[in-house]
Amino acid sequence: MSETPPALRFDAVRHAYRGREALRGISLAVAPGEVVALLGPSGCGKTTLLRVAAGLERPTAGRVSAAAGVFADATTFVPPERRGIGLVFQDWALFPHLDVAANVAFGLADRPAAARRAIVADLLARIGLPDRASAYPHMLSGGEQQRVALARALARRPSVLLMDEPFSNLDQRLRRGLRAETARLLAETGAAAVLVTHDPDDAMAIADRIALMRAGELVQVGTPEEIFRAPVDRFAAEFFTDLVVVAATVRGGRAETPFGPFEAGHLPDGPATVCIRRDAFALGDDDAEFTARVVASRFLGTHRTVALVVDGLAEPVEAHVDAHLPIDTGTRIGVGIDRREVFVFAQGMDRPIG
Amino acid sequence: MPRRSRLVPRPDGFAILGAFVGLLVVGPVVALAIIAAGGGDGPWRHLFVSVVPRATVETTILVTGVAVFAGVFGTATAWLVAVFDFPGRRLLEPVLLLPLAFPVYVLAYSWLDLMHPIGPVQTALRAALGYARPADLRLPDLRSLPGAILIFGSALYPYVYVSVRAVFLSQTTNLVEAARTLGAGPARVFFRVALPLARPAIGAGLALVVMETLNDVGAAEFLSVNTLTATVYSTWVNRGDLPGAAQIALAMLLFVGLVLLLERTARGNRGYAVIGRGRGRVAPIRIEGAAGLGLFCLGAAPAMLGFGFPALHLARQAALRVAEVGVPVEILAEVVNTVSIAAAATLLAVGAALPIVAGRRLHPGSRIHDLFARLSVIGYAVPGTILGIGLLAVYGTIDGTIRGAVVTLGGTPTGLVVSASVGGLVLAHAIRFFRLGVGKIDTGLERISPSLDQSARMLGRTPFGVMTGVHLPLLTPAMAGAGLLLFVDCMKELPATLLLRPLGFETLSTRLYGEAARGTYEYGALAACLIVAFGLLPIVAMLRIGRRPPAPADRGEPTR
Amino acid sequence: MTKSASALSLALLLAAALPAAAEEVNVYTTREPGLFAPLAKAFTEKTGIKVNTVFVKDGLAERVAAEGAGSPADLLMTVDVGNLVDLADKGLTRPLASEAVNKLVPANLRAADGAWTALSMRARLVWADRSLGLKAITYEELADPKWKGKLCIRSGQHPYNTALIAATIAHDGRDKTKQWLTGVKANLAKKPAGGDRDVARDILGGLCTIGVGNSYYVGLMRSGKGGAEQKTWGEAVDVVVPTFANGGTHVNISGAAIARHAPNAAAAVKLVDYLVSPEGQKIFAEQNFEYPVVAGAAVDPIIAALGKLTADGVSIAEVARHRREASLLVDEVGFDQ
Repeated sequence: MSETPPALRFDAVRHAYRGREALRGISLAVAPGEVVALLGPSGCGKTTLLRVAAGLERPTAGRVSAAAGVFADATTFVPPERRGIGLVFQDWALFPHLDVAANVAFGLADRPAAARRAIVADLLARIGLPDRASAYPHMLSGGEQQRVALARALARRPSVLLMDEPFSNLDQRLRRGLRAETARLLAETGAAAVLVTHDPDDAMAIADRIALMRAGELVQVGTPEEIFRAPVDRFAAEFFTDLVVVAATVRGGRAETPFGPFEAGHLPDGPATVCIRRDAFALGDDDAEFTARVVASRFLGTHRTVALVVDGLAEPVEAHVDAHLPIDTGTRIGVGIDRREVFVFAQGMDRPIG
Repeated sequence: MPRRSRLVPRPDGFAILGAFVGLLVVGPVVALAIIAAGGGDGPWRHLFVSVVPRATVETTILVTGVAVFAGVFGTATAWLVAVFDFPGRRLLEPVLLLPLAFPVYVLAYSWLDLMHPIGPVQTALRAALGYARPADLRLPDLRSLPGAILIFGSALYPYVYVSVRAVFLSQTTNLVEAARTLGAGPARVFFRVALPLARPAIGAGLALVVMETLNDVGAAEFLSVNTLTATVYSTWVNRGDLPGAAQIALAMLLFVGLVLLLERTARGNRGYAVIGRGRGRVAPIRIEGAAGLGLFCLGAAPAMLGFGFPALHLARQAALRVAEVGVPVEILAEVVNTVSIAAAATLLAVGAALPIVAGRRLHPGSRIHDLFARLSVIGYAVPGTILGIGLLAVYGTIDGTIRGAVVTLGGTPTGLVVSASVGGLVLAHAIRFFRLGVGKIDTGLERISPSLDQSARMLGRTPFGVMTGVHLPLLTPAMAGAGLLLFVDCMKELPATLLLRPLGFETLSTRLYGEAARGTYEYGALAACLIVAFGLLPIVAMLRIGRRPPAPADRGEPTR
Repeated sequence: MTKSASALSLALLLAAALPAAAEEVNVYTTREPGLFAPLAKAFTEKTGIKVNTVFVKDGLAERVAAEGAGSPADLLMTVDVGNLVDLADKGLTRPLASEAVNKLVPANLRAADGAWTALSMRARLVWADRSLGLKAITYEELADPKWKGKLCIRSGQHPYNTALIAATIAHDGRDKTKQWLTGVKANLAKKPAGGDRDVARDILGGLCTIGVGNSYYVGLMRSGKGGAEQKTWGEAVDVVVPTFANGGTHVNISGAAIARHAPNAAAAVKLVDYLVSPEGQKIFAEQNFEYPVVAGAAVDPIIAALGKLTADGVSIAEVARHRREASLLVDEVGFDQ
């Protein structure tokens, strides 16, 4: 990171509720203008971390700070209304008794009326709803509500915008459009953003960095590509794509599997786990590393999924292969593997998701 | 299949039950109308000139004052315990409900005892200030409109507290948090977000407060406030003019009906529903030290007015009498009678309320189901005494008809079957407080998604099957809440019991009244204590239910 | 438990209207249970006839009327002559064929047609702060402006007060009574509220110095039967027996009538006979501090100490006739407002 102070910073933040630890020492800094996605399965503590940042929960230990100063530590607690942070709720939490304009203007109570009107008009134009100012929330579609909630949170020009599952209540098509639009709005305002999501597509589409969480701890923090290319454990790998997982034995820096040996120079001799992304397999006799019998095949448009029976494995392996290759079930065929999509993890690094 | 609005439905069980309940409730009102029609316009003119205008003014001031008091304190205390965290808050939450256990007239007796010039408070005050005689230090008399507003208000504010607290604890949680992240401090959050959203709940609570105030006779008379209901009562009992009394009572009923209609219409126009997305409580704002103590005292004040001080006084009185004359032997039977009547009436009312409410929901657009549901609740809008007189007539007619039929068939003339029977008494309680059951269950039903009904129908359930298989299990907490509220009110009921009970059948409240009417109400203190004590049990239970996690249908949490 | 069970079975028995067993009598009363219970107990002990009671404060007439021919009521007991006259007027009574009543109760204390009889009397008295040293007063003097802001009284519409006003009408005519009532209202220290007992308490509390209340409340308070506090209230006030300027002291009655459809009329008559017997009258006097209706029966010492009672000469039937007019007057002068 550069020398400019981070827009938001967690230092060894812990949070427990009735004896249950939701956060177990999180340290993370968000640079000004940066978009960070808190990614993880349900119950991993990501929403709690967001609420701690907003001031809706009080950390039990550690420190939350921002460019302006300390938000929360052992002696300080700045209430949410004085943090200058925006928050978009998962259900958007639009005030049902106020119209769109009043919702967006809610945080601008301290501005003169004219300035308020100008800001609202500008934001409504940006989110493409200039003519919906006097509509009430229940009259809006889900996508429109999401955009109003975003505009409302941005109206105060927060230094950091927090978003809790901002796209989860929307259908796939709408989601893609809104992700792009949200990214554009964030870029325009220059606000740093932290969004919570359980969907790696959301995270990859919008985030500069991803903070992957599990059980109240950070598993890995990095750019989407860093995490995708070099997951630190099976969980991190599996969170983005499905894997074929086989037990292996490392001997002299090589992990022996029914698919053949894989490079494992970083591991001592002993048991290990080999994880292969399903699209790492290529059918065809060129560069074949082992042979397998195709027992099932299904065309899925962008790819074809095949079930392969491999010598030495009890269960067939499901692989995603080139959709253009014609495959006959029952035939025996050579299979190659793209070694960039294979990860070998030591014991203890192979916990699956959930 | 689209269902068109129809006035005459297929004769389904819901409609038949609805018609039965509707007739039962409307019967006494029709009887009153017949009595009123027999009066001619002579007495009415006199009443209208010399009595009603003044009574209308006093009633309006009383009701408005009580509504403002109960609305402000009910809402403020609900906000206090929902949003702030201060020493003693967890204690305060249940304590604020306790005044519900107090019949208003008992509260009035107790407070007058305490605050009378020769009562303990003023005596101590005189001693402290060095005054010798009561006449030297004159404080305002509690027996006045302001005093009555204070007493009614502190007895009835929990109706508002209960319904508003539920909203603050669950439904507005997210919106309150949203407002805070948008820079709104506690005051702005309250006035701009919480208060507008709590308005329907405040309205619902206030409707109960207003009706309880309007229908009271004992406390108003004791505090020398000439309300319309007190006028109805004195016109009947003292002026000996029952038709005139019935005329005023019907006019009041019409007025209450109009008010309720307005409230309903106002609610109907609300284009949105606040959908519960409760994560439990909002992270509370912590207030420590002196400020925290101040908040605690602020919150405790209405509970002390409506429960603490008068309960202590009653307990002391009861202890004195018990020491003096012992515990009357009949009191055990009276406890059993009171609790049995209250329990039976509660079961009856809750049991009948579910099909009435569910019937309306399962037949959307059916005017007849809607009509029955609306008619069924008018017992609450009629003062207990007046309902009692109407029921006397209805029961008497039923008994007369049975007797006539038996005689026609050549049998021995029967005595009374419904009149002066325990069954008739239970029915009277159920009719009187039916609205409490219908109201709570209706609110509970609103939170169950209609798609559950629809999917149950698609899976082959009849409307009755939907009620028993889907509504009933999901409504258990709401029905329990309704039952508890009903039970407490039945425990406190006096005028209808006094008029309708069988020979030799005494309850705690008739004993208390027997002593009070004779001017020895200190001897009723033990009965009053027992009424309050048995009223407390369901209130404690009510809180426990309130704390349980909401029914699955309540949860807005999407699956991830 | 047993009591409620027996009450329940009793109600069922009555519902079945078995031919009335002679050893029971059903009493509907507006008199508080605490007042009637000693009489009922003594009667049962003497005769073996069981007494079932229901205390119906208001609406006794409506209830008996609604129950009609099936009503189990035998004896209807009530206070205030007006209520008794009403019962008779509504056709809810049957003639009381009791030789004892005809022999013992003076004719002016029972209905000429035998519809009802008085059982006891109470006088409307004046209570005064001890410091006044008040020895005598007339009802008319209650309107004297010297009492301005010093008088306490219960609601003008209460039967005890309407009867007093009706008696005043009988004495002085409607116009003078209205003038008098306006004067009394002008003297009120506070809006009428509560019962007679509260008047004593208010005098003690310095809210007023003079008030109006019934004789038996004095006994109830001074005897300590109402509790220790009430004893001090009763002793803190002087009780004066007032008269009309041209008559005696206003008295009202408690009385009884036999219900028209009484299933146990004979037993009811026995109860009435007992109530007017020397024994019954003694209980009225000792337990309830009332004046007996039977000549020569003793008065409780506390009541006797108040001084000799000379009941007003206007008959109570005459008083009952002016009751409605009195009630209208109360509204006209806005007495309770």
